[in-house]
Amino acid sequence: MLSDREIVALLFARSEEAIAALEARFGRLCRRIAVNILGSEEDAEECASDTYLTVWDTVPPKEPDPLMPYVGRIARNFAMDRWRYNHAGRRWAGGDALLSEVEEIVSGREDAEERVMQGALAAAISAFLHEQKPDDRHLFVRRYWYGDEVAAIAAEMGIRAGSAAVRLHRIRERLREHLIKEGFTV
Amino acid sequence: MKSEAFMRAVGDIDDALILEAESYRRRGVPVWVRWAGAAAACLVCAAGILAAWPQMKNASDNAEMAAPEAVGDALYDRYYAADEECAQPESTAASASGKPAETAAPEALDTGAGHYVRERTFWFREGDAWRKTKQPYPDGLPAMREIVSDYLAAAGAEVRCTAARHETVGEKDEILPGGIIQHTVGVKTWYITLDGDVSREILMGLTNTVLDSAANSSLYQVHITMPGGTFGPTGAFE
Repeated sequence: MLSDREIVALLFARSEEAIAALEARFGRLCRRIAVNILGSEEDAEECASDTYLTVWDTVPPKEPDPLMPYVGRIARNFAMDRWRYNHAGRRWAGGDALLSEVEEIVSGREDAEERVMQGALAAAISAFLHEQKPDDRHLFVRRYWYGDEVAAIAAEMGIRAGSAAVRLHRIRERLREHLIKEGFTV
Repeated sequence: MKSEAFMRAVGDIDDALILEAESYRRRGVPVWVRWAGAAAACLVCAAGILAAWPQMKNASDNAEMAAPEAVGDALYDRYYAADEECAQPESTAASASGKPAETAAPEALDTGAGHYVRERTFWFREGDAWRKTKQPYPDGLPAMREIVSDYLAAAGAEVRCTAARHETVGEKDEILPGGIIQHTVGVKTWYITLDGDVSREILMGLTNTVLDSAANSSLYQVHITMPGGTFGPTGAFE
């Protein structure tokens, strides 16, 4: 399996081997994130393919290092877009569950400048997470960035699913307080 | 702010956080600690088995030799009312001094059938384990008087009787056949007072009848007083 640098080098060289290398290196990650949000293997496969094409289109000029968060973020955004598209007609379990949980943090009101503020919000969330204990940080990121099931995360961490759910609830409460303190309208 | 906007913002968190979560490994217990724990548990088990082995062996030997036996009556002292003094075995002292016990023992002792509970608790030894069982109390004062009167009538003795029971608080050990030690807590003595003389044969038969009426005769003694003397646990007139 090629390293990040080697894959980026292939992309810069416009070698089509880069797509196969992306699939080999990040295919599983992309499908995992998309399935967690969409709940559909078929949709997840499409998201993964769209992700490789987007990486092909954006590298160069971008030169992401490390590559994994960059690829994963694109896959996640495609899955969110797809979820919104699917959600117009019917409900999907994965994304619904994630959004219903984060409604504890935000009010649901549309804010005119929220799009503009997305970068600042991400920075505030990052700052908050850096202040948390490693286990809590891991729990939050695995749940809300990767979209993994609480039970799966708990099993990996060696704790009970109920304990993980309670910890997540407390993290959300603390994050809400943190965002209000930082001046965000939640 | 909408939940979706929040989720999109979460998607833009630091790369370092994402990489950290992907490479997270649970801080498990070191392997050497697990092995040390397992070894310690094995040692404790082995030590426990070695310590218990002699008792287990004795228990299995005893189980082959004897059936479960009643070896004590742990609750006997509860049969007395709280404000009632538990009498001492005065009859023994009286007998030793040659003084008839008819005035000492029966009056000072428990003479009310109502003081007795209907059940008593026996501890049985089965192998190396102790088992607690409750058995119905087989006798009471009216019943004992009836038993004695019936026996005397059947023997042709025109003698009336009164009866009382005394329970000693002490403990005793007896070595039974097979080397089993029987530990007895409290000995019950039936004091039977006759208003006339009867023959030694009748007294012995009466004693055996009273003992047979008890659930476990090893816990009972019979002390019979009559004008001619007393007939005690040793089976001799005093």
